[in-house]
Amino acid sequence: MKFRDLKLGTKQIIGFGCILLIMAGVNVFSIHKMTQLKIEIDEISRNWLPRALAISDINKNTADFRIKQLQYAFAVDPGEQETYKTLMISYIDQIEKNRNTYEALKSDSEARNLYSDSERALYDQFERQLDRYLDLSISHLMLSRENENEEAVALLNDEASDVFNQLSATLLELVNVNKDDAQEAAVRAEETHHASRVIITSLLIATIVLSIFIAGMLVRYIAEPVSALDEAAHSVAAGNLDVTLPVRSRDEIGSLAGSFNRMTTSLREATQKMQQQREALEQANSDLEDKSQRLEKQKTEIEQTNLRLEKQKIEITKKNVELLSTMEELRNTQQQLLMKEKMAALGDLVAGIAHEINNPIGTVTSSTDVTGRCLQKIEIVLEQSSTIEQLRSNPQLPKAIKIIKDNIRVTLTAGHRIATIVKSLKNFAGLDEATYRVVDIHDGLDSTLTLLESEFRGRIEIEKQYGELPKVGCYPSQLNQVFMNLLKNAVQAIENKGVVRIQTRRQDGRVEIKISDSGRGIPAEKLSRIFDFGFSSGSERVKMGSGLVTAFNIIQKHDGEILANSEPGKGSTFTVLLPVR
Amino acid sequence: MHRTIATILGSFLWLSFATGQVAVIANKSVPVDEVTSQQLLDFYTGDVKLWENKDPVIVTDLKPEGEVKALFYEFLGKSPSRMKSIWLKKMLSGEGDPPEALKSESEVLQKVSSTPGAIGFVSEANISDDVKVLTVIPRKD
Repeated sequence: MKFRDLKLGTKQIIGFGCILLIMAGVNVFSIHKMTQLKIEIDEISRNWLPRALAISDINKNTADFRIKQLQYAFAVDPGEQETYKTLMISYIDQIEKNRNTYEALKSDSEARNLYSDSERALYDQFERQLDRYLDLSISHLMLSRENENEEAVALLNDEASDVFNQLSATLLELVNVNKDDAQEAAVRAEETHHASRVIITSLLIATIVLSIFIAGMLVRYIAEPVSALDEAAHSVAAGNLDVTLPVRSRDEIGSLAGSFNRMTTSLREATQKMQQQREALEQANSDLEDKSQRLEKQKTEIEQTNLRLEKQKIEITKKNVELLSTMEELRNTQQQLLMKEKMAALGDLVAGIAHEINNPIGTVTSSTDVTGRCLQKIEIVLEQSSTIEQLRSNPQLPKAIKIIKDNIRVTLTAGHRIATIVKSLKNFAGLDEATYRVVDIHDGLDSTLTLLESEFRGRIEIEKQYGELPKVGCYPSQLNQVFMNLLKNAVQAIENKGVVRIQTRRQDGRVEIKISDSGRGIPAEKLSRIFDFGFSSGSERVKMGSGLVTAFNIIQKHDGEILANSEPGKGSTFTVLLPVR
Repeated sequence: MHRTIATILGSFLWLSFATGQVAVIANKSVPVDEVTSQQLLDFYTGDVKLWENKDPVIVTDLKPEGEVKALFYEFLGKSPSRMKSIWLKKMLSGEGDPPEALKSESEVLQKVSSTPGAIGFVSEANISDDVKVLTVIPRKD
């Protein structure tokens, strides 16, 4: 785990703990060094100095001893000798005492490893020399006891003197060594003191530096993030949401920074959303304004249009008036056209009738001519025959009579024919007659067929399928015109040979007259407009070409219906339905 | 008897395994068979001058310095110079003389075996049946 990820409390504890530990360490070190220093000073005060003192004393004691020895050697008086002996004993005791003192110090120093090898060697040397000197002293005492005085003095002056000098030198050296060691110890103590001072000072400086560093760390990991957070919070409070804090640790500040970042992100998003909504609102607003402007414009336009319409209305009213007069004119024209059609129909009828009448007249004329010639022959036969037998036997006579008979029949037929035509003509003669009568529809159909006979004779076969029909109340001449027009259209629709079928029947209180032809038929687009006024397939000029408009008008006048069915190439069927009255 | 055999056996063992030890010997007339370092010191300082049977204690010293002498003095707890200080004092006060310092171990053996109440020390290797071994000072190492 990294230091930055620790909790704030832990950080502080670690930081201050480190500082405390270092300070405690410095203290312990200082105390340790002080102790060391104390030991070193103790060494000097408790070892070297007392040892040097003891050695000095020994030196002095040995010197005293030797003086007393010499005095003893030269003493003559036995009492004097005894005094010296006693003094010598006391000096020996002092030497022993000081040696004890020294050796106690020595073993103490050795135990503390403060006893130098050179000192030990010197002391050993001293002991050997002392031993030797004591040996000599014993020998001297022996000699003097045996009254060998000269020898005794010689021993003291020669050999003992040398040993004593050596011993003194050794003791002096010991003192010097001790002094040197003490000096060394002092120097060491001084060094220790100095080193300790340096180390403690360094440690103190290090402690201060470390404390500063730790404080810096704490500042870096606690105070800085907190102040950054504070700044960021101020920044956010001031409205700047583009603030992202670096999450450098996982402690409370790190988590706080994380939360702060999430907060700013949410705020930013919310603000963005608000901004977007505001923009959308503004957009909608401006759209609305646009729309209202447009509406305003449209209103203006509508008002203008209204004005225009008003103007147009006036114009239309004017036009309507014009139209009314035009319609009046048109009606007049229509009536004129109807008249013209009637005249044309009449003309056709007259031509047909003329033709129809011409034929039987021709027949009559020719049969009369043949009859005349037959009569001439009969006359000739009569002249040539003298006798009745002769007359009877003449073959030409019966022949002529037969021809005459035939002619009479032909002439009669022609006469009938003419009579029929005239009768039909009489039917048609009521053309302008607006008389309402109850008639047999079949009579009208037959009359019309008679008048049109010349048009389909030899070319078109007429199939009549008349059913049981009641008499119908109508304007016969007008109905006849309808039949005439329909039949004429049927005839005209057939180019060469064909069939025109006329079917009648009673149908739901109405009379149905169906006229079908096997002609070319009417195209579907024309069929729907076939009863329109003024309809013409080729010319702009208003004409009554088919006469179907007239038929339509007439049937309407009779509260009837007229229907047209057609299949191009196969023929057309016109159905007229008339109420029975 | 047992002790003697043990001592002899011990002597052989010391001879074979640990030579150079010091034996404290006495004339066979002495009334003790063993001795402590304190008793020895008392004899050598001259503080105790008589055996239990009132025979005088006659101590002997070895003149040549060496391992044997050093070991013996160590056993006594006094350095030679210390002993000499004591002897000197005794001489000066007239309480007695220092022991005779003999020139060799054989002289010591000779002296001890031939002098009733005599006591001394030699290297264990050199002991003879003529003397009584009071104790054997082991080498320290």
